[in-house]
Amino acid sequence: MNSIGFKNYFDFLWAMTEKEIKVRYKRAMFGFFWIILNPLLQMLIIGLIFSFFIKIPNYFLFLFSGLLLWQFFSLSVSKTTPSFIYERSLLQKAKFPKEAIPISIIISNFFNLLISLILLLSFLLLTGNLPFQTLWLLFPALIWLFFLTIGLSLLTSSLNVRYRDINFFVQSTLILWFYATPILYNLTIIPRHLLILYYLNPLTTIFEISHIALINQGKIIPSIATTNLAISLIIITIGVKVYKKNNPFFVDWI
Amino acid sequence: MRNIAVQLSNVSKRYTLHHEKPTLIENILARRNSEKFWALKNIDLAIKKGERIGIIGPNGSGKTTLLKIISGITTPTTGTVETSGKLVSLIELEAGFHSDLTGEENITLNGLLMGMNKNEIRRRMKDIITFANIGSFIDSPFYTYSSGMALRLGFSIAVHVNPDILVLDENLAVGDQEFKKKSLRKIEQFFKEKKTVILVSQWFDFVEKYCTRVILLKKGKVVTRGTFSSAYRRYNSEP
Repeated sequence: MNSIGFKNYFDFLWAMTEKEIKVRYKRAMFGFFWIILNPLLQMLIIGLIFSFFIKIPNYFLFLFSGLLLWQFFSLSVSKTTPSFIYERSLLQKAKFPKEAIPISIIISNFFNLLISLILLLSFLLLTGNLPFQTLWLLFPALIWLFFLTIGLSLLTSSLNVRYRDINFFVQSTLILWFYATPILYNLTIIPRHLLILYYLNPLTTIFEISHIALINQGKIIPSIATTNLAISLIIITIGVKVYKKNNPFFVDWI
Repeated sequence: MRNIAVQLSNVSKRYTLHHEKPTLIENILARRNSEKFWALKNIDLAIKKGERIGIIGPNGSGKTTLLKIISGITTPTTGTVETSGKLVSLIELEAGFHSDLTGEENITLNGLLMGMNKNEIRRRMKDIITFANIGSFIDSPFYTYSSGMALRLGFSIAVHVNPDILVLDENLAVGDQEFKKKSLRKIEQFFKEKKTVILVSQWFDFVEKYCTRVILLKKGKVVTRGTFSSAYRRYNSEP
């Protein structure tokens, strides 16, 4: 990195991000259409079934807002984890800031999330459901989610270079993680003895804040929020450290 | 130190041999003793600016590992590498292109990867395309390219980075006869411009003709350094 200046670094990161976006949109016509269609279909299917058991007002909107964030998180983590292996030819070609590989994937997914959110917000505005007072809370939630995703991805993608089964582990964990995150439900229906789980899941508060921001539902439990934040910071720190320690030797393992 | 382009101090590289994909489960359960070997051992080397170093040695002597360490693609297990100036390695020329992007988009991405900035790429875009002789394919997605075209494009981008230090692996000249001549001319031009060159080759005539200093590697160690003839003599004698 010493020979590359700050501006060149961002030019490179941006070019990698552009590549991610272009490739996705070139492969499929209406590339973006698929990004919004997936959570829409999920919302319909899950909504039809779970609305019998879970009584949350505006359940479909509630689901949809959570599913958008979840799609960003799960797509990013599942795609970045094997990313160094997939891009081995780049790594073997030249010396460059390798973190651009996972981070560009995350930025491109974040870009898609923002467009989906703008669509959702316009829908809320048109139907007169936009909660102006709480909307600003979306910013801290998105920033938190963005950096947590980067930290976790740096960790899983770095480990996956040395231990290829990390990828399988991550893919199955994501399935469980989906149910352990307040997406289909919110914390109000969780029995007390299960709340401990939500202290450990750093996504809990991010999703609760987003629900409040977008549809003015849910509550933030301060003790859970601070624990979640602390765990997020720990994950980010470990992710950055593990990446920094291992990335000079990635090429030897791929 | 001003006139030193590359400085290797006590560089050693150890590799772990793995026979299958490494996994965490295996690591926890089996704790198998992994085999390790030293690809390079205690290399000290100072390359002056404008020097042309030829590295020769039998297969498996650590030549490519040495190039990868000098290029910063991998990192030595112990010891340090310092380089001063822009370094470009002409290895894996055909790699790092994305099949869904057009030639032009790939040039931008690859150029940034090799160390050009956006302005330089914009200014040199035409030259890169002309030199690679890609023609009207430049707007087509990369998967429509032949392997020769990929190699030519890779070579063209690398030489247009305008490096101070040039690292060359075996395939000095690539592509068909005509392009081979053209690329050799380009490399000779770098020689004339007094760039620092580090090359690995089994093509001894070329090494003898162009290199100012020759290093013989055997089993990860420097056996001789000096003139081509002294290195060549030791190459054929047993360790």
